[in-house]
Amino acid sequence: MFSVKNITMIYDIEKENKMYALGGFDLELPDTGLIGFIGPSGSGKSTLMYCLSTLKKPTAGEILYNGKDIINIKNSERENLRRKEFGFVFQRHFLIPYMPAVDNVVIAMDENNAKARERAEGLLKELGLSGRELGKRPSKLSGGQRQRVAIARAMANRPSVLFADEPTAALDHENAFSVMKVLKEYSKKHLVLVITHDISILKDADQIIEMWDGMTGTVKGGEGN
Amino acid sequence: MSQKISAFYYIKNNKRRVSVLVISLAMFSIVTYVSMFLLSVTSETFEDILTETSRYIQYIQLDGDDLEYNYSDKQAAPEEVYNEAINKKYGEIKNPLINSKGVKDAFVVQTEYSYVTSLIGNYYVEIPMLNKTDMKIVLNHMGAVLDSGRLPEKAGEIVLDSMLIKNYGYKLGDRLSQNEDVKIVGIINCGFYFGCGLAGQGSIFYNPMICVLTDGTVRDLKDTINKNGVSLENSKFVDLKDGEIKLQDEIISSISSSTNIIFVGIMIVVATLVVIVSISYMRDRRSEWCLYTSIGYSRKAVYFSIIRELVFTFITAFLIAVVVVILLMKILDILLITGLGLQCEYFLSNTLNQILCVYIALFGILQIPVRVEIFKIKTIDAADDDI
Repeated sequence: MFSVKNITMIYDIEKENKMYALGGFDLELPDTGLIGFIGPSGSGKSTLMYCLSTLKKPTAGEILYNGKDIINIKNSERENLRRKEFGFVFQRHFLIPYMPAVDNVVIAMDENNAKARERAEGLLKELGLSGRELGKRPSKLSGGQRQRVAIARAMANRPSVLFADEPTAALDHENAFSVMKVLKEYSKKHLVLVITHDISILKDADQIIEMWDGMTGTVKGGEGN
Repeated sequence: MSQKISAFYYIKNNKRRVSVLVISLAMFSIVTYVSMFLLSVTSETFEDILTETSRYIQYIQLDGDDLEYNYSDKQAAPEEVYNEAINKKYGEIKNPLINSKGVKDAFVVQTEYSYVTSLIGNYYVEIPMLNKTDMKIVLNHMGAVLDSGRLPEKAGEIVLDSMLIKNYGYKLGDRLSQNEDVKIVGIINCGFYFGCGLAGQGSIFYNPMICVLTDGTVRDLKDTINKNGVSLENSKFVDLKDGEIKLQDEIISSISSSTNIIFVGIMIVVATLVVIVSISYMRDRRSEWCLYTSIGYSRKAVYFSIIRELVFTFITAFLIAVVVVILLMKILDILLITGLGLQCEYFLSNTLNQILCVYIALFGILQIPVRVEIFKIKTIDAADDDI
């Protein structure tokens, strides 16, 4: 699905002390499966995910998605990819504070109708939110519940690729595993990329990629392989 | 993408915030329109006196030069000589005057005065005093219907329109405040600030004038009768043209400076308030808009969602203002304006246009912070630093 060639990302490029977030490496990712990215802070995991998802443009290199370059594309094509092909779970949940949980999911959908609402409610329930919590604003939800709303929003349009940047960071172990179960299920027909510091949640991952100093290191098959 | 970002998401969930903007705009419209409405009471009332009444009844105040009468003679035989000169002149011009286009009848009358007091200032109204037959002709011409009391039967008795009665607070049997010898014996309804009465038969007319009844088409009486060979070069004509000039010079121009100050003052306060409130709202929502672009909405979609919110806010403010203004005008009309026998106009097209122009201008001004915020939109990861 993704074919990454010599990807380089340099921050502060105009300064003397340049910071290499991605140091120029190649990577191939399959069409489906749960891929975990682990590594210390500053190793380039999030930067790689943002580049793959078109949120950031790498300094150099090539990213092919289904054989098509997605770095130098028109804005409308980029918007379409973000809308229909990719879903995001950010490190922070970034929910819209004034919207109830269910509306935070519906806003990401292609349509805003009863069917879309029903699906949003179904997703939230699947992720463990109760009926009462669907109508609550983010400020009235716990950190774990907010993160689950963010995951539901990312899955709203059934994206082909789901990017999850530390999706379980705010969850206790039990909730973390239940979320990972949902992601694993989703990965059977789609590609799910998960960044985490907690390798224990990647026990069902199909592949685990370690990153160090902007480079990919060991690529392991997870227990789910 | 097919889903638009609905303006109602924000409006529905931020009623308090949106209502601040709506109330600011609505208050501006309400205060402006009601202020102009109250000021219009003066102009509408005086317009009725100066132009509407003058369409049907006009006066010629004959000058000594046109009468070939020397004012210094007044010392010797003041009123008799003046009356004689007027009657002589009237005898000469009566036929061509009455046969002039648009003129229906004319009489020599004694004139009394009453005052109409508006919310700002006052203005006088001529009250012609005639003989019984001519008085009935004039009353009939002005469409007067006796409402209460009776028609004048003796010299010095008058009837006044109900608006004049209300305005001055007269009752039947009261004496005219400007002349204690004149008694109010009847109240008429004719829709004009008008009254007339009986002059003493054969007696001397004080302040005599020629009263001319017209069919509503005569604007410039001097020019009209001149075309029929009546030349009164030095006399004063109280006609529609004279009324229009007085209305413009004495009423509208003095009121318009007040209205402009009120309008500009309110506009500056409201524009500042609206812009400050809007900018603070927009700053608060930057991360929300960054999120939208990160999940696939275009900047254009975000921009139009803001525009829809603004349009909704402006239209709501306008509709609220319309309802409140109509209610306030109705209340003011019932409790104050009609009670004082004054005139008012509900539909002030100029004020409405000015308010709409301010709305459009504010909408335009708000495009600047909106555009700036749209330009600042980044994807959510980059916006993280700002949040």
